[in-house]
Amino acid sequence: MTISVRRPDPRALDGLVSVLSRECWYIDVYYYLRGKEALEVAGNLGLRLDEGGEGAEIKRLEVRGVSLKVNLYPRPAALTVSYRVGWGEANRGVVRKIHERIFGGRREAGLFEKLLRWSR
Amino acid sequence: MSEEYKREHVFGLDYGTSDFKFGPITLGEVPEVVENRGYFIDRSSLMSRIMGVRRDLVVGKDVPRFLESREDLAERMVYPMRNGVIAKDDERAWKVIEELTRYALEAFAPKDESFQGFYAVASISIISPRYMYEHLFEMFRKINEERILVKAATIIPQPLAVAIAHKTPTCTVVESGHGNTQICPISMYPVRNAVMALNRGGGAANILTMEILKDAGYGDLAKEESLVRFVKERIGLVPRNLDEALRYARSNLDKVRISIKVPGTRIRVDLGEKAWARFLIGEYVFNPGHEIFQSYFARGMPKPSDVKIGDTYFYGMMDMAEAIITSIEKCPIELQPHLYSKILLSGGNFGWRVPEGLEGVAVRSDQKLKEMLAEKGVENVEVAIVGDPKYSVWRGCIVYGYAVPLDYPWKWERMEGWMNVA
Repeated sequence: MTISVRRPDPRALDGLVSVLSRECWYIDVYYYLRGKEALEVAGNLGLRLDEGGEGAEIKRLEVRGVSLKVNLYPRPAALTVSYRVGWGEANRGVVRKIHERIFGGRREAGLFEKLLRWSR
Repeated sequence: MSEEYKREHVFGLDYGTSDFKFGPITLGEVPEVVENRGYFIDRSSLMSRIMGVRRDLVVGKDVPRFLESREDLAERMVYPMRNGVIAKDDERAWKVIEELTRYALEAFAPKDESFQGFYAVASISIISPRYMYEHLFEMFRKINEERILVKAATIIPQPLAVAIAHKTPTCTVVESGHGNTQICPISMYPVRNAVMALNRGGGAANILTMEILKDAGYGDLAKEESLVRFVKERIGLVPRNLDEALRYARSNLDKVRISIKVPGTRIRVDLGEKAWARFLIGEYVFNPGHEIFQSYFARGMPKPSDVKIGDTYFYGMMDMAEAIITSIEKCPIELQPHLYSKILLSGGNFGWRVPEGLEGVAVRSDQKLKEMLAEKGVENVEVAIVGDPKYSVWRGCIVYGYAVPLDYPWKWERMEGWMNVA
């Protein structure tokens, strides 16, 4: 089964994958990005995508214990990110965290920030 | 080589008459698109030498950077698939196709050593003769001489790719691109002896748009094909009924009038009081036989002619509904209702929009054809425009490549399976 979602809210995506994980052995999540957005996401993931450059590349990153496969296509300035999650990962909120990492969303609170919040 | 490797490396190539759509499965739902054309550079020219141009042929997004004068365009620019078929001995056209294919594969071929070539699924016109299949397989082998980019290849007709993309085993696919329109009933496989072809597509609407631009005082702009296409896509309308639409336009000029600006230039196009002509553009695609077009033919606009390419007749003036009926009536009677009940419209030539305020006067392609078929007495018709009609062939290529097992070799008698080209 394939579900296409355009620009999902991170929490909604997290909820969707969490619900699906009860019925599916695993869920593959794909992001297809083009142009400026692809360049930005490459930067967020600490990778380089030289627009118009030569040679596609496949990189693997680990985020929250989940292996992300990143296909970088410099010439057409395109990028895809894909990963697989099961019930365990889906219920740890990993999907939302990966989404935020990809789009440079809310940063994880550091220890100092957590202490500060706790003291308040 | 594992089935899993194949699934991750399926690569779709849709050789359209105007655009070439390509990309691997990892691109999701939208392929890369470049114009299906190549520009032969005059390397003997002094400027080419000074600038260090080492290529004979440019394809893809670089083409506009190398264009010389307008006079040279016609001679040096080659559109290899203009009518869907490349002649056996048309070396320049085959060279463009080879260069475009290499351009597409190299843009997505990973650098890492684990890459052993794509599983390429090429899609060409249903009327393509066998030598085109042979030539394409040979071309993949030639491309592999420099670097293995294609592990295995297969070729499917464009209408079948559309049916596959929509998981519809029994249907009639009407695929209309720039140069022609193919009508193909499908019952698991294409019913080849029922295929009908029309010698007109988006290009014919471009020619009419040129005439309309000339009449509106934009004769100088009408020479640039890419600009004419842009104007056509912005202003063209499909009328529900042409005579009624023209009456409406003449009495409601403010609703039909439009002014468009060409991006990146100072050019603005406004048809003014001739805005009613917007409806002619769409009508011409479906029914060039309407009497109103006679005045354009009389003034020298080329009439879409009947031509024979290979074994196929391309009809110029037959209206689209008539062509669909003729095609379906060549199939067994028992099958005909099923073919009428699922008519899929695919290709960039069906992407006509209905602007706000003109609903009812202007219609989408599916509504137009449904009405035309009803007028000819065909009932219980279901016509649907496929989602993103421009990309449905490419999507079908990807689904097909994903589904055909690795160990299913190419069979010439059935024209299916993988041809090992590495």
